[in-house]
Amino acid sequence: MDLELSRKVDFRHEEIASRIKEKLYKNGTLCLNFISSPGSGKTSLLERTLDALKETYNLAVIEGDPETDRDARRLEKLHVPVILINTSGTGASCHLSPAEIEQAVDDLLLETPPPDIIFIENVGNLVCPAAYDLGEHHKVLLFSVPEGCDKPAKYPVAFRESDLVLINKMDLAPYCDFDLESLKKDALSVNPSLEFITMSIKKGDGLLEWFSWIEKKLAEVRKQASK
Amino acid sequence: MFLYNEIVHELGIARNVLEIIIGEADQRGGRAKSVLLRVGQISGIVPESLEFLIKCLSEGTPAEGLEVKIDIVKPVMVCKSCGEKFTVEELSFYCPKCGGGDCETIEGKDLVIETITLEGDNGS
Repeated sequence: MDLELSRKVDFRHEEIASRIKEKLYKNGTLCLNFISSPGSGKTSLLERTLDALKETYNLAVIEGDPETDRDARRLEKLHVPVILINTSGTGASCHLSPAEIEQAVDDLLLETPPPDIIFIENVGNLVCPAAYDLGEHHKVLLFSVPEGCDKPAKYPVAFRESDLVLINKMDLAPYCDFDLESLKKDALSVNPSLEFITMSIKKGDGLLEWFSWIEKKLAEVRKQASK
Repeated sequence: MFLYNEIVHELGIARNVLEIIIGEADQRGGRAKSVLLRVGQISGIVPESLEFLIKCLSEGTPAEGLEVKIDIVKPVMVCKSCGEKFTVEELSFYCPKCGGGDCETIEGKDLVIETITLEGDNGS
C-alpha cells in the first residue's frame, strides 16, 4: 500500500525563526548573522566592530563554537554581553539553529536597555549555516582572499542567502592570484542583489564602510519597528 | 571526545524523518517498506548522507531494512518583475525572460516525505 503523504519536514524550525524576527523588530534590534569558512576573520572582525561601535550602541554577541570558549573569551574582553553556544553539545556541530538561539535572543532582549545590535558568529562553515534562517535581518558572508575565487560556484547557497559579502585580507591579494571582478561576477550570478565591501581587518581598510553599512541597516530596522 | 553524531546535521533530520515514517506506518497498522523523499537541491541537505543515516537509524526499529529513494528537486523561481516561473538549471539565478535579478525561490529548499510504501497487517 502506498501512502501519499507529501509532508514537508520543518527541519529548519522556520516557525521559531519567524518568532525570533518578530521579537527583534519589536525591540528595534538589528541582528546580523556572520557566516564564513573557518579562519576568514569573523572573530577579528567582531573585535574591531565591537570596539568601534560600543560607545555609541548597545551591542551583544551570540557565539557559535563547536567546542571551545576561545572566541567568546576574546570578545568578552570588550565588555559586551557574549552568549556562547557550544554546538557539539547540541547534536550538530556544523551550524546554529533557531531552536538553539531563541533562548539567547530572549535573554539578551531582557537587558535594560535591550541591545541595538546583536551579532551572531555562526560556526565556520559555508555549507550548513547558509541553509538556516535564525531570524536575523541579514546574513553577512565574510570571505577572505586566500580562499580562492571559486567559492561562489562551490557554495552558491551561502552567497545566495547573504545580503553582504565582506572581502577580507585584501592585503594578501597580490600573493594569491586574486581576481576581484571574477569573484563579484560569480557571486552576482547566484545573487544579483548582493553588496560587497573589500577590507583588510588587520590593516583597518574598509572598516568605516562596513560600520556605515551596519548603521544604515539599523536605521531600516528602527524605521520598521516604529511602524 | 569525538562522537560520530556530531559531525553532520543530516543526523537530526534523518531521525526526524524516521520518526514520522514509523509513526505513520504504526497508525495504519503496517510496516514501512520503502520511502520516497524529495530533497531540494538548495536545501543544504546532502542526499547521500540522509539516505545512509536513515538506513543506519532504522536498524532495530520497526522500519528496519527500509528502502530510501530520493528525488532531487531543482530550484524553481518566480521573477518579481515579469512573473516568469523558471527552473534554475545552471548556476544563474537571473530571470531568463527579462534578465531581472529579483526572483523568489518557490521550490528547491525543502525536504518532503512524498510516499511511504507499507506492508503488513492492514497493508498489502
